[in-house]
Amino acid sequence: MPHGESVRLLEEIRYALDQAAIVAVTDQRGVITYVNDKFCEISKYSRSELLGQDHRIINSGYHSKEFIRGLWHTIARGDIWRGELRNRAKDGSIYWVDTTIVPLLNAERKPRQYLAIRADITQRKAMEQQLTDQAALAQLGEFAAVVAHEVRNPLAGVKGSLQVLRSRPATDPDDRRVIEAMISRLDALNNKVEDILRFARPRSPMLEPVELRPIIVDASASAEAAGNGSCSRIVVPDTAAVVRADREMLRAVLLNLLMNACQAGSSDPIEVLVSQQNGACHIDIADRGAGFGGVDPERLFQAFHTTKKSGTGLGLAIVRRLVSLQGGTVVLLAREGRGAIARVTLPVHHAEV
Amino acid sequence: MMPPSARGKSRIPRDKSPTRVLIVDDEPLVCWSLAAGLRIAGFDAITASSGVEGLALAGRPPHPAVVLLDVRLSHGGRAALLRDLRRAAPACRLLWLTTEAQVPGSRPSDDMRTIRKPFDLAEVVQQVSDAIAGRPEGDVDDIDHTTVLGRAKS
Repeated sequence: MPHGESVRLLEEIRYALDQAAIVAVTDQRGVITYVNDKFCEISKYSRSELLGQDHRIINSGYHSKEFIRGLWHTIARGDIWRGELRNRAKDGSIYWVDTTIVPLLNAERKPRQYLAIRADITQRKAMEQQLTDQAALAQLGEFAAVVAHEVRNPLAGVKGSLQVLRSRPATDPDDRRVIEAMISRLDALNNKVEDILRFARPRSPMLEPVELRPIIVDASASAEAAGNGSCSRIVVPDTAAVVRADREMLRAVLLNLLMNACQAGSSDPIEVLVSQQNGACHIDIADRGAGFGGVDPERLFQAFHTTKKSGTGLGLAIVRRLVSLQGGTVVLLAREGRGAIARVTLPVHHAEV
Repeated sequence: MMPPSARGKSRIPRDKSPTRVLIVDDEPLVCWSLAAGLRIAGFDAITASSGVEGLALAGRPPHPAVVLLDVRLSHGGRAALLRDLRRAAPACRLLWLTTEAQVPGSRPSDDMRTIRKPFDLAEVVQQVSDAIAGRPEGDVDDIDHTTVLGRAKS
């Protein structure tokens, strides 16, 4: 093939690739030297913001160190790497890309550049995640039901027997007080089992117009009471907002998020802010605590992921489940300055005219 | 909670021989406490730890007027156990012992009488008395147990 023709063919292949894929080139240290329009579009950065930057600009912090190290080992020795990557756009939104990284080698067969060809798989990953979550939650529900039975059966025997001993005329009054206390502890234990079941096997939501302010006041009072004086003050907004939600589920969600905010480790007041936008109502619970310490906040929603010494690691997973049952969303955001914001978004209730 | 005057204790006539209640559950403390609680309330309570043992006791006079039966004991053969129980003690009323809000495999509309574990002894006495006195919660005989039980296994 004459030289001119092969150059034209290369040009055409590049044109076709740019139409089909998200393309970037970095130097051997990972500094971006080329991006195509599709890359700019999905990452929401302009070309000038990307060129000369480390590729980590789109890192979402989701993948483990081992995973990233494996990727680099592969391409640094001149091999092609294929996989799925979760990246973060300029506005903080997350996208998934099916990725092929091809090392371009120099005369010594060392990589001089890396060519990354990606395809947007965000939607597919979202659907996969939904299926995985549903399966995990269904399993959790079954597990909880079995545990509940295994706990309640002996609990019934112990509680019943204590009631019999309490009722015996010969029982010493002091002993009777101890038995009373034991029975009340057993009742509390049974209530906990009931709670776990309520969360792990939630009922269908009963959606109705719910006035936000009273429910925030109520949840705040409970959170402060649960904190036993260790919780900082909760500032409740003056709002007339009415959302479409399940009253009891919404209360459980707000209580959980407020208790998290209480435990965030700051004496500054916790602020609850309510705003409305395009038929959606945002409820922000904002603290001045330590934030997420570099952890991707999405990870905190995974069941059994916990950063606390005590707790089941179910709190935020349950919150997300209850919110999504009500047709809403919940995210954790870094707060300007310091701290975190938990944002619950629910549909606004529109009064029929 | 029910008013104290409605408690089952007061409903047991003193001059007659006590009404027999059979408790079938594999948790010994459940059997012991239910039997003790019911005896205090004036019933004649007997216990069994398995369906087979329960059937044998139910068939012997005086037959129980009420049977408290753990739903898990029938091992999926709930229909057969019920049929045999009906044969052994045709007049007995049934109360299901269960850890769940309703008997597994049943619908709320089936209206099966249940005692939820963990229970309150005073309430159990009341439920047993109600079962003897009348059937305000629905008649257990009206339930199509084959449908209920057919689904219980799935």
